Amino acid sequence: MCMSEKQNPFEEMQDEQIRTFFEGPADRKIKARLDGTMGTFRLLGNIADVYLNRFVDTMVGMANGAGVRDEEAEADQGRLPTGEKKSNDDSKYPNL
Amino acid sequence: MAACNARMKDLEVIHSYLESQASRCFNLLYERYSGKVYAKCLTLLGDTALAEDATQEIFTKIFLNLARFNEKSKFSTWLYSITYNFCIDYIRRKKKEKAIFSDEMERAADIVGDNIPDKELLELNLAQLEQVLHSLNPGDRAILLMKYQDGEQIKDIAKQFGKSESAIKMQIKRAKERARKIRAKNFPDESNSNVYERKAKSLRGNAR
Repeated sequence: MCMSEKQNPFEEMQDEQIRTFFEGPADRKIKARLDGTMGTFRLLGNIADVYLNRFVDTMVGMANGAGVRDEEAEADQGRLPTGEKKSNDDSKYPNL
Repeated sequence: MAACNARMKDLEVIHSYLESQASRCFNLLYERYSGKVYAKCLTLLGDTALAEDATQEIFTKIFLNLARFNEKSKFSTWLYSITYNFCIDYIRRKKKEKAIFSDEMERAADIVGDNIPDKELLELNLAQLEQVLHSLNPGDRAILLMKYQDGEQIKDIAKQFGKSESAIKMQIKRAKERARKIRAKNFPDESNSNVYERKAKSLRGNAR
């Protein structure tokens, strides 16, 4: 077995702390909590991925839809939709 | 890119993780560094429960900010700087301590030379070192860990804390002085025996 280079007390202290960390429950506890946190963030990320697009689509749809509804409302009030040409009066009174 | 494995270097693991978002890659980084991060937190915060919480929060930060790692330094350097800053901020918030570093730090610019040898710190045993570190301000503790545990250069430590190099040198010098005093006070036999050993060695050297 080859002799390892002598460690200074700071490195020794660190090694001792790391050994305690992995031998005790701390490592497993932190890992489990971290997995939970990461899982939550991933879930939120996925939700944002899926629903953000839909939300934007819905908003855009609603903005366009509002225009359509305006036209429908105008038509209901007896006015014609803006895109449609006004019909000729002759057709209303063909015999005149 | 291939799935992460233990033989891959940190940067390869990070690139692979950023591409694939595979939790195996992040777990690999955790396995490599969690022990060291925990050890630093424990030394700086002085409490196992706090060190556990801090380790978890630091890795959560890493998880959320890994894409911002700009590769200008080693991953370990980046991770440790987050660790030191997190712990120092925690202590500052908790104790409402503004003086995380010793008062002398800002007045250190004119002081040159460190005539106290590193041996003052490096000859301590674990119990002595823990006492010395415990007697220092958290900022000073962090500086010593950076220098003697992580092997960082003075200029890098100075950059990290936004201090001058001479201020950092001064801080290290103070820590060595404190180490010497604590050792002399708490372990008089050992420090005396070391003095005798040193004298004996020098005498032997002179005799040759």
